[in-house]
Amino acid sequence: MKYILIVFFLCSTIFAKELPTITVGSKPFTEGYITSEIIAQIIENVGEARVVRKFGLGGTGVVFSALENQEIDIYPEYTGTISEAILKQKNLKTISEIQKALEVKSMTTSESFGFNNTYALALKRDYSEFKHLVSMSDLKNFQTIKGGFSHEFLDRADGFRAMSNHYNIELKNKVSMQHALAYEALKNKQVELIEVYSTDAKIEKFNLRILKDDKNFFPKYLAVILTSKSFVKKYPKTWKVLTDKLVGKIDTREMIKLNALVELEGKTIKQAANYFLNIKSSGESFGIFKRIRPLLIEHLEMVAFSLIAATIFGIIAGVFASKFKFFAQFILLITGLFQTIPSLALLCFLIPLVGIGKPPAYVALFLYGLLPIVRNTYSGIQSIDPKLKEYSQILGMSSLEKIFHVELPLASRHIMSGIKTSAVINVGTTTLAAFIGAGGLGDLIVSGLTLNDHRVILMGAIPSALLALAIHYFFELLDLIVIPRGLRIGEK
Amino acid sequence: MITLSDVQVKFDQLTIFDHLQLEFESNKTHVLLGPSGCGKTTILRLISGLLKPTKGEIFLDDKNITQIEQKDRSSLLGFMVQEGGLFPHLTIRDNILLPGILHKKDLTCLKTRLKELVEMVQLDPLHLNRYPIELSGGQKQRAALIRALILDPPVLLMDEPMSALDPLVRMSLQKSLKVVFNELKKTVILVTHSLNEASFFAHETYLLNSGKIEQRGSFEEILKNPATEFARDFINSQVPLV
Repeated sequence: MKYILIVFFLCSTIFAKELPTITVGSKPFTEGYITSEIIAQIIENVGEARVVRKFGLGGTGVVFSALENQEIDIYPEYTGTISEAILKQKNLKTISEIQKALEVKSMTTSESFGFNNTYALALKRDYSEFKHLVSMSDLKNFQTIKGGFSHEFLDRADGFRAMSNHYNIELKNKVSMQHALAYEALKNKQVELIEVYSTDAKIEKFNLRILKDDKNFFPKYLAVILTSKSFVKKYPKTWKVLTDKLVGKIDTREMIKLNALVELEGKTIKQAANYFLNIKSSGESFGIFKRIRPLLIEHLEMVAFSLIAATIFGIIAGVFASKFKFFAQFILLITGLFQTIPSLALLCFLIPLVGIGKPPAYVALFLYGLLPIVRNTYSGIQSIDPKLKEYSQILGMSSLEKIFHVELPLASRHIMSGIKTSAVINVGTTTLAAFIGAGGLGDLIVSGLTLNDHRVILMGAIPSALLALAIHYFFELLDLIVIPRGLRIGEK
Repeated sequence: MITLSDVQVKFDQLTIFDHLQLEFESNKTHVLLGPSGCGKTTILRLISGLLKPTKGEIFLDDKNITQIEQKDRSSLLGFMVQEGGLFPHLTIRDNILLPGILHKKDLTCLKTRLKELVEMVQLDPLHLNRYPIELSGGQKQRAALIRALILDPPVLLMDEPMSALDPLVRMSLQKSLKVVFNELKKTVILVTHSLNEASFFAHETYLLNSGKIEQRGSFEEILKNPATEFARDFINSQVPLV
């Protein structure tokens, strides 16, 4: 029996080695999630590799540096973003120009999926048909149309004014309004023309038509796959299937439909991807606990391990500070400094150093956990009655004996309250770690924010608040074990 | 015999002692008397090792204890301070056993000794499992005395061990102490500012004033023949106004 198990174990490790993993990233908004999920499912179906999903990474900077550091292998990006935000070369217009510029970074893209997610002008479909208003050039004949535009669009140099010049039109009847209100205003006929993002799910919902940008004014944000050249070389079959199934296969209407499935019809990202790939959705049950449990465990792991490290290091640093007055201010200053860096910023700073996912989360949580523990250990030891310190000197205690027999036990109340503070802070900070792909309950909060679904946000936020409470009470109990009874009865 | 040989103590510019020469005979009780700030506690700190002399040496019999490790020194000297100095996080028993544990003594021997001392010092054995905060001042001092004696040191240093106690408790502790001194034959150096205590304990009395020994001798001698004006004033200040 033993031998069979060993053979089985060997086989399974060999088998596992044979199947490499591909990590798929995504940005934190609906369209990013959907296109990434489609890519992930295609790769899984090809079967050359296992897929790890790191979705909802916080913005272009994070997701692209993750790709550069090989934390992820592949993700969908927009041509406009690549040329302006990543390469910072606005003059790159075509995909082949972009591919050429990416060569220095040993990266490449696929051709366009087909849809273009950019600014666009939209109006009601029936109005458009009735007035034969289909392209932006047609606006010349409708210069009194009532327009409702966002402040940003009206103010930007490459926005409304540039557009008016480009098409040589003058729309006088315009009001500025909040973007979210524009759809409602259009529905209620307070305005007739609004600016939209061209793949917005609401275009479908409100039955709008997008005016054709026939003189190519708006920059192109064509979706492509962004990956490294080595990926294409390593997985030729996967790459071919990806391009076959995606390039030219998602037009703007299709993308609007997919976005609408998730944002308006309450389908999951997986279901939307299945819909596009013509896969019958398995009747997935999304039991709340089934979804929360693994994330809660992940969350707890991050808090626990970072806290253990911060406790060990923090106590050592605190004791050190109390022994060497010269270093005390220095140590407190440094650990205090970490506390002042906003958590999301700290997480982002760490990406170039330790990548995305768990490592930067652990480092950041560790650094945040330090200060309360160091400070409390230090002040706990400082506040010990000098007579007792003197008596330990009379007894001829060595430094270590002093630390373990006298200083740590007498400072234990202080130290424990420092650890408690760190633990509660870390439960909260850990939710932000989802932005850099570390997982945990923050995953639910991030995707809830993206999908504008309060239920999902609460599914993440409530357990995390309860966890903070539970940890608080856990430490109250731990006090009874760690803090010597002689000190506790003294305080009552 | 404890000998302070040509000891000087200086803090920055301030000289506390200069050319101090003192001998304390073995197996006797020596009482250091004097007002606050006269340097009597400093002598205890010098002998215990809390304070290093700027010049000079201190001997225990023939051993130069200024040169030895503090831990070795602590097994030669039991120290009892004003408010006991018991560690609040340890039970009375653990407080008492701590010096033995630090010196890696055999635990069974320690426990036997603890039992003997508890009886001699008249500490209620039930108190051994309590924490210092649960004990009264007198009981705490009895525990502190046992701790000072647990390693059976030849010398016992006591820094005003009874000054914080109320008179009745003090009297009962004084009696216990005298029993202990007589039975164990320790060399005791007791610091106090009370003439009563001096008369009760002292084989030899030393009257100190600003770093100088004003007078030395038996208590009766000092009481009857004060050598200096200061000695006279100090004695008169404590005579009951009857």
